[in-house]
Amino acid sequence: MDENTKILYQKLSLYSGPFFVITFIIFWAWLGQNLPPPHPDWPAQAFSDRYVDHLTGIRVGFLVSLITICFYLPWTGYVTARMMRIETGRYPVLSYLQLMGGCLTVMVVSISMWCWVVAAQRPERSPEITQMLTDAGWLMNDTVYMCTALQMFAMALCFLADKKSTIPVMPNWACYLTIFCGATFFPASLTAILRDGPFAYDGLIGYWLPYPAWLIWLFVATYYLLADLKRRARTDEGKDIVAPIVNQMLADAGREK
Amino acid sequence: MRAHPVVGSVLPTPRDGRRLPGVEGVWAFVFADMTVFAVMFASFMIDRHENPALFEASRQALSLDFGAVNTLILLTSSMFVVLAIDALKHAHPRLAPVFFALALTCGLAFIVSKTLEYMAKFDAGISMLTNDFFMYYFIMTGMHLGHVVVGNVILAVLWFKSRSVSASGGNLTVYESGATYWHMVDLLWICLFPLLYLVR
Repeated sequence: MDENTKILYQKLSLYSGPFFVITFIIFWAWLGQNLPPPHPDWPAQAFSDRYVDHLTGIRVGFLVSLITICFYLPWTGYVTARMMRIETGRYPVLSYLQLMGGCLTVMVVSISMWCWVVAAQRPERSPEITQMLTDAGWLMNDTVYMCTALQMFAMALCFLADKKSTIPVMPNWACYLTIFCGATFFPASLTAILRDGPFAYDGLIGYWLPYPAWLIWLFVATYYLLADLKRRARTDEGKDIVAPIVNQMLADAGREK
Repeated sequence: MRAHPVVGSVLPTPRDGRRLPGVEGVWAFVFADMTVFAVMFASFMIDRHENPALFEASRQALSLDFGAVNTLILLTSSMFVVLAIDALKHAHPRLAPVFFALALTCGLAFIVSKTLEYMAKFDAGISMLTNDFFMYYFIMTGMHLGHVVVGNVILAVLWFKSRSVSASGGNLTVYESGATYWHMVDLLWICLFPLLYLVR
């Protein structure tokens, strides 16, 4: 593969992160009627009505999201490769942890949406079953978050310990923000016990804190990773890259401004 | 070897000699973390406003003794951390591990005291599901306890590190960052204690 193509795929991998976030907000949150989410203390019939009233939106929303969630994978792949440049040697354990965390995140979020797709397949079925599928989907996301938290912790710890880059991949505060965003997932375990108030799956601490934290982290991380990619292409690994690409990227960067 | 001093990302020293203790990231973390607690405090006050009788009756079931002892323990441990940093700064590095060990002992004592307090509540048949007050009580003190556990791990690391510190004191950034986190844990309790145990 020539250097031009390599850089292209690296860039595409990084851009697939924000692409996932934007499609997630449009299809999962907005079309999927998760803005705001259903209230866990509703009677079963209300869950059925929600699917009947918004059937097309919910079906399209989650079916598209189930495809676009996989754009989290190339992003994770790029981050893994970038971390391995810092964590050199034969035992890049943080990079592997981040890789596994990212892959499993896709599965966790997919299984959660799969429950809702099943519920929307036969909206006329018994309301109790629809209610259960909705609950099951939420609790999949809200109790199986540790894979994602570990992905974020591994990434932050690696970038904090970076002694190879002349300019850090992510600034110090962004690494700590990453750790914080991962830590916001922990109270979500309470959604399995409490069905009302701020700790329920539609509550302030159960929903409005961890989900935005995850998506904002991904945006912030992508911003710095993209800047790092451009810098890297210019200087650090310049010998691997032929001059025309560098010039082209500099021109691109100039045009974006 | 470190390729560039920027990696540690310590803010430059301003002209008047004042500077931010620790790394800037710890302060970003502290700000974000305290914002989450502030949201919970506000949420607690709103729910309390809607049902003052229930919240007051439940509050009276809390043990003021445990609360006061917890407060004293944390304040004392914060003082030991201040003394440890001071010892490092003023070239008495041999004292630092002693103070860190004392601070860690207080941190562990807090965990023991909180566990006893929880067990007394469970024995009395009170849980997170009893009512809204106890939901907030268990979750907010529980999340705080989680911070204490992390803080104890940090104090243990600082204690271990400070045992091999040279007479010159060396780079204080790591110590200051850990101390900042521990003071935040203390400050959160200083907010939680009156909110749950004292406000009538």
